[in-house]
Amino acid sequence: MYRREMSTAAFLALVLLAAAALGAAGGARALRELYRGAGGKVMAVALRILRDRGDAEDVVQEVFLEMWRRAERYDARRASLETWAVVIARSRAIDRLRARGSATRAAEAHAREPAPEPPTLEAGEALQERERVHRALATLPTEQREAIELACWEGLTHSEISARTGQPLGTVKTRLRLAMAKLQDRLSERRSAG
Amino acid sequence: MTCEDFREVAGAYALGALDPDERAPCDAHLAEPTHQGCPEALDQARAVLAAILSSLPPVRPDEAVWRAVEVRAGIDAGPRRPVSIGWIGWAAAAAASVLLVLWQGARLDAQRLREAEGRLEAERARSPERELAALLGEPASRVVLLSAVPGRSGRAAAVVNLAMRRAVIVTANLEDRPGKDWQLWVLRGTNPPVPAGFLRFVGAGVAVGEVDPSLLGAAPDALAVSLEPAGGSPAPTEVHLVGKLSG
Repeated sequence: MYRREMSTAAFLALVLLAAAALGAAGGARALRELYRGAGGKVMAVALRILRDRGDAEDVVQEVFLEMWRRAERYDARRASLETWAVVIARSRAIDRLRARGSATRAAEAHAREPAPEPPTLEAGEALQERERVHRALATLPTEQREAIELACWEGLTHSEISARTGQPLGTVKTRLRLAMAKLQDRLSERRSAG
Repeated sequence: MTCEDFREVAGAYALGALDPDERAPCDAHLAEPTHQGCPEALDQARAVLAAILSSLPPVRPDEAVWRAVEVRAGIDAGPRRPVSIGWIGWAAAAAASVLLVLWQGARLDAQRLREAEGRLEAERARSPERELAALLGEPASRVVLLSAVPGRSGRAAAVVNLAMRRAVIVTANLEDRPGKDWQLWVLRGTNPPVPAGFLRFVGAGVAVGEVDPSLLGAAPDALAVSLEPAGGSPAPTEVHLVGKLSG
């Protein structure tokens, strides 16, 4: 439903990565293309979760090495290459976050915001897409948006969100379910309209 | 757990927000053979997550990060060790052939063993995927995009090395249609398009095809992909993709 046409860079990376999976010397070119196309997004996700540039860059390394070594796991029918990359990035970053311990995580979440982002070379379409998602998030009630953000960026479960926010478990589940349903509807509507 | 139950928590499942005692029944439910909208609900929830993740403005990592990836990936250490992948049928066949050859080797004389190995290498060399892989490693190779003509969708890339008379086309967004073939074409000037081979679906949504090398003696102006009845046509009937090599 939400699947987007891949960018040219990501598409090239895909076809080259497919070749890389075959054990080609040319796979090196694939990885470079992939890094050029998705490296900035992977870094952004890792930095948003970890809030530490050094740790985030370690995650970026892990993501591209994982894609390089496990290219055969990629299925073009399920997601774009960029999506695959950012999903891996989230997973690896949350692993690191969990390793820090919950107390540290909670303190960091409130203590520091991500550093201001430098200007990027985003294409107009990517910028519009980003704003579209931000607008959809902004329409959520504060408590629903908070639930989504804690789950998405900190990897918290229902019970962990309940403990963090002091809200009953059932309330947390409802908020998260409603938030996801609303985002799904709004992104779908806007995509159809756009 | 019913399908309705799962659909209720599909969003939390996609986010990884379910506690272990909630997740286990979901995993068990997804393993069941039939569903009423569960995979679709999960795909939609995953798409929401992907949209959120992708909505951050890109942040350029330090230059040292890419250098570290290169080193750790062993990119500068020469050709990469071949990877065994499930969606390439020839890989499994080739591995089985090697084992068979090795097993029989004790009873074969050296000459027969060399012949068997030669056949295996020839088999590998004929694989379009292998051709693509080899071409990518050639410094003179370039990548040409094939874009959809008006009214069509899809995209492909061609790895082209005219000095070697090689052009391999790969795509990840054309459908494998029953009773149809995706046919390749070489275009020169105002001459009629020349049939140049077919795409072959190798799995995971990826299709690969090699342009007939005999057609690459002189540089083509463009390459094209069309949808044809099974077995192909002498002239394209439904062109979908075109990519210019000249100009």
